[in-house]
Amino acid sequence: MIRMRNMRTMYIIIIVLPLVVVGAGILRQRDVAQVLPDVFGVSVTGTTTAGIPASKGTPTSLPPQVLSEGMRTYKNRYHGFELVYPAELQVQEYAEDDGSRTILFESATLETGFQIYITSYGGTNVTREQFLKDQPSGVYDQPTDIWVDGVPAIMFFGENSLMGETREVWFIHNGFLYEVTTYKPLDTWLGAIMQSWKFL
Amino acid sequence: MNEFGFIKKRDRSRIVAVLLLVVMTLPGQAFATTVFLVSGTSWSTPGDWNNSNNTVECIGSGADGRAAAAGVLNGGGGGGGGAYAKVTNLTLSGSIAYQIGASATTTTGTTAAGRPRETYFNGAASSSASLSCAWGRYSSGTAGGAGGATTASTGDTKYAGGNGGSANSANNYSGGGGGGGSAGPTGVGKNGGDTSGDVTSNGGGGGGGSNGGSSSAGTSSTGISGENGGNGTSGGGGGTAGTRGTPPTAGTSGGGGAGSSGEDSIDSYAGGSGGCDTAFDASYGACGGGGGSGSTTEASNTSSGAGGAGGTYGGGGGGSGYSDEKNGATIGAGGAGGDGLIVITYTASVGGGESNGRMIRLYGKTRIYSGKMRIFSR
Repeated sequence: MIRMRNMRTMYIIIIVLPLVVVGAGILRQRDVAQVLPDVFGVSVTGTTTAGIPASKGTPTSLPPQVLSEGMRTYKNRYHGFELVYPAELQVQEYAEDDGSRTILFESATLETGFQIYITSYGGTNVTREQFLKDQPSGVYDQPTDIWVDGVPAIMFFGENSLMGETREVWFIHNGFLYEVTTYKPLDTWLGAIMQSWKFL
Repeated sequence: MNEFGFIKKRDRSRIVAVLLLVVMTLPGQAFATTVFLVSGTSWSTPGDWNNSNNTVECIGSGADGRAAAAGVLNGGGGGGGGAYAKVTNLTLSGSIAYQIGASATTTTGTTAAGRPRETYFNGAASSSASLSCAWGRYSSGTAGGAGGATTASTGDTKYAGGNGGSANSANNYSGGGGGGGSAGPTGVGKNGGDTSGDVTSNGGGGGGGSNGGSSSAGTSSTGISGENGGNGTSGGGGGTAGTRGTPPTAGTSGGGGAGSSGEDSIDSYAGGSGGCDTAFDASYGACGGGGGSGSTTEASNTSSGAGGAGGTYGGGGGGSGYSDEKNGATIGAGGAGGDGLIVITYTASVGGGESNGRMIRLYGKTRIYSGKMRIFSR
């Protein structure tokens, strides 16, 4: 009798547990679907897509920030941009195996840093598909339209399983999608650096 | 196959088996990740690092060109170009120490504050590192600086940097010597051009080409005009010599910058800068030396231009030519040498090649961050 009860418990675990897991996944996807627009308002023409704005209001520049001394200039000849960053950060550039590029600015202790991910992108807007590809969590919190050296960009809080909560600045320029990422608490710090961004 | 051209069932099975075998034995397409280190001192081994499929390469820093000495009638020598070295299949884990060399500005010292000379990887010093690339030496006066030597480098494959060109030391108004080119994955760096200076004003020598192959040395100047820079590894890219009143051009594609002409009524132009090839990537490669600047005629009250800068990675700077330094005339500075470079290439131990979405490289995280959620972390 006891053996039969154990068997029944085991069957319940085998059948019900996977259903619970799958169900949770579907609910998670639904959450994402409710939050995300179909097309994001990062447009090369500077206009948001009609009817599906990414955020409210017209693009604004990042608030002016004073960059202290001890800064260096990073210049990227290939993509044609430069920015000023704290001298204590190490710069390492990754040519990824799929043709994209990641430029890492990080302190030796790895406590402070940001990265710029650049991938070839033919679209004029960030599609929902592209967004989920790069941001599988689907988290797209407090989106704000900004300018990065005259190029319209979207700034938002994101999340990924490796870093936790993040500050993101995404924009499209000359056929490339730029995704600038740092830890959420470094939001203001990154803002000051993004202020120095210049296309060459 | 039967008389109707159809394949029998038994044969079909055999063909399928053979095809399967062929497919299974075909090598998988390999996609590599390349990392460029141009600053900093530590690198976190990525989670998808592959001990069995990687290379690490470096180019040593070039030296600055030497400015003509005050009060003597000679130009300055060119800086030496950096050496190249490569190792294959390093076993790495955790945090890896490295150093990127800056251009040498003195004849001595390897650890001048803020300007370390040596470029090395995986070790606390070049002597104990898995890989090191010797830096080009600074000119001691009129003699060109020596190129980074293979004997002072560490690796499975090593090539020497080109020597800087020498300025004539016979007190005859010589121009500056051309900088040496950096070595690269294809071969040695070539020497910068010398100057002979047996005229009232003398052109600068051409910068040396880089990276072996069809590269060539910078041309030596024996007259008033500057001389052409040496070609890069593809056989082109050397800068075009300056003539009186016309500046020299910079090198491209790993070619050396050209030397500027000697002048007698205007300041001489700066030497042309060395160019870089695309040996590693569109933005990273071996680089040519800078061209020397021409001298100006005695009592002309004109200044000599600066030596041409060496290419960004490992190119030696050009020396500057003589000026009488009268009535405000000045001697141009030596051209800056290029910094060192480390290039890491590996094929991920798992997956790779697909466009799976963005990589998260912060905090030693690696790839692969995508809908497939293949995650590796430190």
